[in-house]
Amino acid sequence: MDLLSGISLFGLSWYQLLAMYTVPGVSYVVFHLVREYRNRPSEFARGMLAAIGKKKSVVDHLLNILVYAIAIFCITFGWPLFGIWAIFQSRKEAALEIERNKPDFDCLPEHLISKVDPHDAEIASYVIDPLGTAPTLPFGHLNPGWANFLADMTDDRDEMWSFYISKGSEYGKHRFAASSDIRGYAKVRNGEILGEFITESD
Amino acid sequence: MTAQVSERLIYGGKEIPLFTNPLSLYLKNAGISFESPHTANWRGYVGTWEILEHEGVERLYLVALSAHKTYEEILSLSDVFPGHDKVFAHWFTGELRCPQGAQLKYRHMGYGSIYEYDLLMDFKQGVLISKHARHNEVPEEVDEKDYPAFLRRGAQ
Repeated sequence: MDLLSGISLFGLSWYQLLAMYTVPGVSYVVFHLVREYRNRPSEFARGMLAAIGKKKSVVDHLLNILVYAIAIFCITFGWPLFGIWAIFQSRKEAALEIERNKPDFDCLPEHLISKVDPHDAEIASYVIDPLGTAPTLPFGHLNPGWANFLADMTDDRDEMWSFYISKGSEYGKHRFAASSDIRGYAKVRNGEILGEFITESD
Repeated sequence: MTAQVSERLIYGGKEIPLFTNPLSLYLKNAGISFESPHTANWRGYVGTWEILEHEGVERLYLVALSAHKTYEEILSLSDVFPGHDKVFAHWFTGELRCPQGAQLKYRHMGYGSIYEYDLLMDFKQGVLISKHARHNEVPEEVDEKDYPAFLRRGAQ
């Protein structure tokens, strides 16, 4: 204490400095505790947990108090580290959010075969049906989807590529195994797949 | 997920259940979706398919459809494909699975139930390429203790 009593800055004593340092940590602890209290399980939920044998014992409560006490101490005095961690965490969350919001196309870059001219794709697409039940339009019954796909090729940099996913190979954002061969066309801009039109699959 | 009502396939003059949904790609492409009338029909429709032969080539056609636009309003094939009484499924490449014989195991999920045989038919752009039957066995019972811990009842 004698050693600490010699510390002062801008005329403030060590305990005043310590109090100022802990203000952000204590504020966060109070904010978090209030939020926890507001989000506590309702009486109904507590009743349900008790009914299925998940009621907290005295030991559970004591452990909870111990965990909270350690957490409050750590946050109060180590809040700068938590601040840095929170910044990293929010950046990671933002990156994950971008990944989650990416459209889920079956076609991946490794499935692209070659750049094609839309006119050539249409010529090769007419359906042979001896019973005449398919419209004599490019891609038959899928023609409206093709028209939408073409209408979406608005940018000069957009390229149309054919793609092929063989049965059993990985496809899509979640890289599931394909249960059948999948063929179609992809809209590619600067190497990135921005749209697809599937012409055959199961 | 509840076991799902199957599609129907008319083949060789016989109507058999079909555990594949060949209409999926068409509906996805056209941006069409239906209302689910109950938990055994999440896709909201039941299609009747037929394999028709012409000059030695067998093709897959949709010949009837019962699709829920709403719970009460049911659409037919001609509502979804105006001017058509049948539709060639030229977009379908893959395998049709038709369960045959006795049910060996009921599974409360999708088309997960297991039957004595599966009639498997491979199609390329709606044209039948090959077919074969697969004999199924009663699957081995798995005890709850063999499940990973997080799948066991009462797991924390």
